[in-house]
Amino acid sequence: MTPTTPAVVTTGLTRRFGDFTAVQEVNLSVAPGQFFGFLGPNGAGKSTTIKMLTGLLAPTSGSIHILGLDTTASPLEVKRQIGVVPEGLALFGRLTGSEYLKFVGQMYGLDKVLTAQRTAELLDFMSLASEPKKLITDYSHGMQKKLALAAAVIHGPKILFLDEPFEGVDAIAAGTLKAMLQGMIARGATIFLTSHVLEIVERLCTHIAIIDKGRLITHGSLEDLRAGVATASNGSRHLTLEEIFIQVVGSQHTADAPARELTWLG
Amino acid sequence: MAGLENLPTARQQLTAIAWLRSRLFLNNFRRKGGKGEVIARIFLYPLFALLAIFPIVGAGVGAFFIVSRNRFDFLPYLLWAIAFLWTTLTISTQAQAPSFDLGMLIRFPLRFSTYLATRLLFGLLDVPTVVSSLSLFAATIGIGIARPELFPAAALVLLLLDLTILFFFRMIFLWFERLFAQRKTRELIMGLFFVGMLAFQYVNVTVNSGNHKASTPAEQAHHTRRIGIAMRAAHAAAPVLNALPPGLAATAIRDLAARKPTQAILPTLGICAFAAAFLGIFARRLRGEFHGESFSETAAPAATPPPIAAVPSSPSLTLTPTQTLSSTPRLSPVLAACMIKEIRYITRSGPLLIPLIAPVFMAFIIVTRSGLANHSGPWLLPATLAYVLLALTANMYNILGIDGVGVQLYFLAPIRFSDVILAKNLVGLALIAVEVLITSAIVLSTSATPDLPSLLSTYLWLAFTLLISLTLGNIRSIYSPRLIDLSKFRRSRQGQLNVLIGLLILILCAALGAAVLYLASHIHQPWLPVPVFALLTALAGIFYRLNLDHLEQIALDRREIISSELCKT
Repeated sequence: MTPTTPAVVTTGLTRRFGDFTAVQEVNLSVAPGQFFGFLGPNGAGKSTTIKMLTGLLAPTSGSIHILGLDTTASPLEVKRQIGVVPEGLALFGRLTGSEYLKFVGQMYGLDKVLTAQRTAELLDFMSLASEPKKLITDYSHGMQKKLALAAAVIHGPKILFLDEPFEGVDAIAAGTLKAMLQGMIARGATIFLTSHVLEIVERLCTHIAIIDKGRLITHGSLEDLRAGVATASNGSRHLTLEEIFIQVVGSQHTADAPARELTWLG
Repeated sequence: MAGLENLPTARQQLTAIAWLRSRLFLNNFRRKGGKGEVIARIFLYPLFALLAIFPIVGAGVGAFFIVSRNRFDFLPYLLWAIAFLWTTLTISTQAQAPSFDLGMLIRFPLRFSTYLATRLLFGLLDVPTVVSSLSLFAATIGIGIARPELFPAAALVLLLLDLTILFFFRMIFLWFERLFAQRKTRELIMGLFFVGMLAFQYVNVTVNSGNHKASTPAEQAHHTRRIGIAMRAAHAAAPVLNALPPGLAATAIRDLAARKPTQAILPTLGICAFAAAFLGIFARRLRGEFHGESFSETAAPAATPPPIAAVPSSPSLTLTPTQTLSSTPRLSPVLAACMIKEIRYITRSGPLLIPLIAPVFMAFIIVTRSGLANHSGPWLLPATLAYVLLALTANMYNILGIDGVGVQLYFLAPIRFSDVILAKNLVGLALIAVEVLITSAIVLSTSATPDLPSLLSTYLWLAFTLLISLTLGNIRSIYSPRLIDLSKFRRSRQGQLNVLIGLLILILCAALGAAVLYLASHIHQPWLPVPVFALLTALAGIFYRLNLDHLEQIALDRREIISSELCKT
């Protein structure tokens, strides 16, 4: 791998479920060190794409290269380089936070001393160290999210994939997560995240891709997107990501939907 | 309010819940593997019915003889035996209960009485309830045949007893869920359970000699002494036992038979008081749940946000990408980590632990109490071990079920999935080895030691059967994983098809073993089974090893199905 090798490259990435095509011909490139936001409306294909990128789902066709490695040819080598917070969080409810992190560390091949050291550091950083005997099943949702993120980074991944990391997380926990993610970016890691919270994506991400109905509609730096949308709408105003998103995706959806009202409500 | 003028009646809501239950039940068969479940039930239910018929008929015949011979002093024992059967079945069987948490119903505009009725009515078709209620019904019929004039009153008393025991178990399980939800109380209860079982076994060994006929004067004296101890224990316990519902029911029926109906009122009222108390405690706990208190372990308490001041002072992370893959020469770290995780899961879950204990406990009771130990044929050890295996093999066919959403980690981490399977198998084998050891000690200490060829053949056959079961169980676990809910007592789902497959494999292996033993006996070559079973074990070991490698790819191909099945909420 050379310094210029893209962190993530997909070529013609497609996934079908029977007759339904969830992701179609997605060509994507994420450079190393980017904080990449992968956006789209519900059912657009975000989770399917992230599952394929992280090895949880096999593509129907197309290829994925992570740090120059083909995910099909070198799945284990790829997995060692990435960290993932999947949709379901992949936690084991009957373990304590410390036990879980030790388990994950061992699964990634860290030696015991390093695993123990990082476990302590991560639990402390995530403010999860105060109740060492508490089982994960008894954690609040926010605590579980923080633990899942801790598990995703314990082996020091070069790329971090996060599926809706801020969903159901309170402002304080979100602050901890954001601080950690920005620290990782500063140290050269690449982060690929999906989120519905566009304000957070706008604040964190340098590059954005938008997917809708399984197709990649647009991708590039936030400034490129902003410029493109502003030009298309002949405006010179500084657009927010929400406005960009609605212009790119939302207009199409709202145009399709007839004006309706639920008259019996209220 | 948009068409919500009236609250639905309790009847409408119960009908809706019953409909929901029936749809869930039927839709369960429409899932992938649903047809297999139907076929499994068609085969298994008649078998279960056949097994259940013995206690039911026994209760009827027993009650008939007690009443017709006017031996009412034995009636409390019969009713206590039925209560004991109910308890044993409750511990040793899985619930056929609703496939959804009834607690979720509280978000609907339900009256508490409707919720209470729902919680009482659902689960009435559970195996322990059906078998024990039918046993009480059979006892009523037995009494009715012996003394037709007693039938209406006995039916009323035994119906009351039935409801009392039902309320008792509803109450106990609600409390169990509550108690099991806290780690300390869970460990305490498990400890008490162990101590209770050991104490029971100690008493059993001390006073029971099975059906063995004492042949020497010393044996006769020993037997008489033990009978004396048992009688004294029974007399000492009698006041307590007679003051509890089965004893009260027996007293009421005896008084009715003696044409002293006024005397029967007091014990009948006693049963009513117990029923009311159990129902009251159950309702009290349930009311807490109805008003939002959560008993389930899965319900997380409200989040306690960390102090704001703690955030800026958190230590910074200086993690760097690592290339360290351990090269420990002995047990690989992945294997060790997975094994430790498995052991922690088992020791922290009552619903996982109790089914592991129950078979040995039951084997002990069957071997020692039935007097089987004194008919020390060479079949006793293999038969008992086969029984223990039968109770444990269903778990082998769904080894991923307890992992839930955690299964995703196995596909995300840079590991071989076969290592995870191997770790699970090793822990499973170690547990079975311990159970086999304990069971063997029980059988061999209470009966004559079989000759060496029989002993070796038995353990080699066991190894062969275990390897075959493990191999097929691994395949089944990957092709048809089912989520197991560890937070609910008696509500894990192994699947009837898994039970049937486990049973069939065991029957086939037992038939093969019997055929080899028969052949060896026929040609007078007692050592013949040893090399035959050794060869079969070696072949099964090779089959297991080859299959383990093959499973790696199968699991990868099916990762999406496995994840989606086990990540269900």
